[in-house]
Amino acid sequence: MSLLTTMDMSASGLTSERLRMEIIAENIANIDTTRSGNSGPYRRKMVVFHEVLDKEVYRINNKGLFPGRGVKVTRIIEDDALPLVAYDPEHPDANEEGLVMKPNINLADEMVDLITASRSYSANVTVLNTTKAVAIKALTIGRG
Amino acid sequence: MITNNRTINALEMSLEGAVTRQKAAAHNMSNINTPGFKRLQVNFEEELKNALGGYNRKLRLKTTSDKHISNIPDKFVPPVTRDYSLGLRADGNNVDIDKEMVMMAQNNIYFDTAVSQLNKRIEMLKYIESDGRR
Repeated sequence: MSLLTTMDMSASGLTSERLRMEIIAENIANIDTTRSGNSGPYRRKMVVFHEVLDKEVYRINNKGLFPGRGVKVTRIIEDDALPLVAYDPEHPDANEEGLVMKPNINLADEMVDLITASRSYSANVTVLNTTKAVAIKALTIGRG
Repeated sequence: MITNNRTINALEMSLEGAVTRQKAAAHNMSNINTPGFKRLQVNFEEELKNALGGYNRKLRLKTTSDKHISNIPDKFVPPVTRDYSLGLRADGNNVDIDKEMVMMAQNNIYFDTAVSQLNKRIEMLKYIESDGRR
């Protein structure tokens, strides 16, 4: 039933936005982390969203059948921006000049991204509820 | 004649169109944060009109056999197109959340209307079936 695949599309949006929120939470949690797996401070992580299209549909005909299948996160990349530098000679990771390399995370940016992700999540929930209403309405056909 | 009803066929096609449009809404909304994404749209009204022999009713080719050439499409497929307009966002995405929500609400009402009409039609057929007795 095609309305169920519609719900899957909304679900893919929900999953992706939730993952984005998790990554933002990780970034904020690591805002002061000066040591990470790769040498140097923690680096800001970002998700890469990608549109999912049904290749089969394009192969057969690109008209009629609906090609869209929602969204997915293809990669989680690290921000290349240079680390922030703070003067803190007391810090255990300070260099000879008393400078500490801090993660390249801007709290304001993260909060704005978090709100965007949260609103997008809600929007997907609204679409999902409408699809549900449509499916339930379709079940009343022939009952009247 | 009763089972091959023109009204029921037309309503069925409208339902199909509305479901495809709902799909487009779900796809667009899930890609609201995908940079460079261009929205998919479903404008099936024109196609529906053609499928019902709307504009070329007068120029309709008379057919008395399946093998005759007909200028009315035998199958209705809601056309899915991509909207390449630029939009207002810096990331190249042209999904407008408000427009999408309004379109979805309209589509929902459209679907509900079609279902109600279909139910009325079926009710009428049932009434005929029962010989006018309730």
